[in-house]
Amino acid sequence: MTRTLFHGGQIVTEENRNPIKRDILVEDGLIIAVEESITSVNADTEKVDCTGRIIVPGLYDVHVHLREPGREDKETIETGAQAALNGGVTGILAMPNTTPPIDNGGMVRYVLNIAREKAAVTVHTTGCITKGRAGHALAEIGDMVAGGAIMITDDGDPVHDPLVLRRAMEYARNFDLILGMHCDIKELFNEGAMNEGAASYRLGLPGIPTASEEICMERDLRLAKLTGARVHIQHVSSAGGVEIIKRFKNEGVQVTAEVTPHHLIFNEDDILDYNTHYKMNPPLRSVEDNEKLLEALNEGVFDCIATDHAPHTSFEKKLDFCSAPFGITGLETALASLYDRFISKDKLRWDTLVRCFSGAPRRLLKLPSVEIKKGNTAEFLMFNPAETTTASKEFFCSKSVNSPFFNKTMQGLVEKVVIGGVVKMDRTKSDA
Amino acid sequence: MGDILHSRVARSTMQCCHKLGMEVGIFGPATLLPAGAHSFIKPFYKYEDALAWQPHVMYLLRLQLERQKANFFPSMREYHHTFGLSQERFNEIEREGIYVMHPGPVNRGVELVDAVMDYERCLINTQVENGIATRMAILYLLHPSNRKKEAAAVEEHIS
Repeated sequence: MTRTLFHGGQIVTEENRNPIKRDILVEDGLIIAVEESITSVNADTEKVDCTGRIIVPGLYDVHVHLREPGREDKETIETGAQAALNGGVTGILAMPNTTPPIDNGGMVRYVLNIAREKAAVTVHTTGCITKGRAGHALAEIGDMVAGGAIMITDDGDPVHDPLVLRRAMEYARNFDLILGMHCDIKELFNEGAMNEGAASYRLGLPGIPTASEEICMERDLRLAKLTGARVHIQHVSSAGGVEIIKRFKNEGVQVTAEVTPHHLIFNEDDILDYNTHYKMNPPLRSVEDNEKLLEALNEGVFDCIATDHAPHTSFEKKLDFCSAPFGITGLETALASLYDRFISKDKLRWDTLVRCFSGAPRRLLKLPSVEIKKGNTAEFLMFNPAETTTASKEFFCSKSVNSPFFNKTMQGLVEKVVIGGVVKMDRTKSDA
Repeated sequence: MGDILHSRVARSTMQCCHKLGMEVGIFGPATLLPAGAHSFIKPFYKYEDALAWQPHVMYLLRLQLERQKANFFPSMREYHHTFGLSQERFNEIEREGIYVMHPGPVNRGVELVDAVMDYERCLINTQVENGIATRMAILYLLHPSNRKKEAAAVEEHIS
């Protein structure tokens, strides 16, 4: 029997607007007491001083690209999970756009087997909606569910044919399965590289109109209404998209939605030096979209914060802006960036962050809660608001460094991560 | 169970069963369950739920194999495991003594495993037999000359 007392810290929850002082007593991986002050403990209880730290329940990211199998030069299940741990993300949902794609039960089992052997955090996987993500024939969804897939998506691409999507939405009901929707219209997206507007004209880069996202989202949600499917709208980038989600939520359609830190923080004006670390799909929109997305997050329109962690090699990202691949990494910088830009400036509350980045994603996928309370598994991170995070090459555990925060410094640091009562990551030790 | 949407058998049999006082439930790929089914019909999306409802009869429907191309389900294999009577499911059905019906012809290995055909409460061969007798009777009665003969026979019987 091992006992650990985490004392002096402030915990954040979905119920309390602000952090509250609590001591946490953990025994054999489970939280056995959460009280304002726990003093009477056995002599052999290990003590971890959390004074000045914010204790956050383990984050869950519903949108991660692990690249294995196929592009292990960019990331592997092992390094992706290590990156998650580095950022305080204790659970991740892998996207199926690997090579070959995760579009059958065998692939699902293969990925989950590797994860069980090598991943430092909990790894779940999605499966494709269509075979080969080609948009024509339904994948063996039942077999993927039997293998452990907990969402289906053709992420990276929408399901182009609305009849195929309709059938998929209907078929998913047999498995009570949620569909992840990547929304864009291929023909409108065209050869675009960034948001269509004044900035794209100034830079001479081909644009992607917000209508591309809006039209597809509207289509997908109308089909969800028709079929009664549960759908999750991935990486919403525009104010128009927010309005569409609000409308369908009001109509009672079973829709949830995610927003990424980068769509909240950055916009098209950040691309002015053609830095490909600002190139992703959907693209960064305008400063007005930033404001609207943050407002929607605070109003509860968004259910999840997700990073869309998309590793690419430096070689690829050094190509010219049009040729470089879409996507940036996000697992390791998500919390620090949100604290630095929003929480520390009172633009985002901790309870909203805990709901959208820990509680709601797990509820969405019907996974057990890691809320800091008696009886739950001890899975949390210690965040030090007084320290800073510098996203240097040495800081990253991911194989890739394609991040807009690369070599930038943010206020706040994920200092320790506890999983199953064990300190799995401890930055105070490695520094010493 | 199965393709309710395109099945004439299901459409008329369900109404007939209802008239005879039976409770009717349907189970199959949600792509093949009709949205506008009668309100007395109880839809099931999972086999376990349908079984928990404790039916006395399971009435399977023939799967038109070309439906796979139209994306109503991904593969025969998955159809069999998810919506058909696999060996494991059949063992349970046998234990529970549930009757099995099917309008025929049967796709063996898709709607059901072979063993079902030899099950003592499988009514499929009886259905086929009765179906032939019924069709023969109808054809016989539809022929004008036979109709007269039958009418005379009936009259004779009454008098």
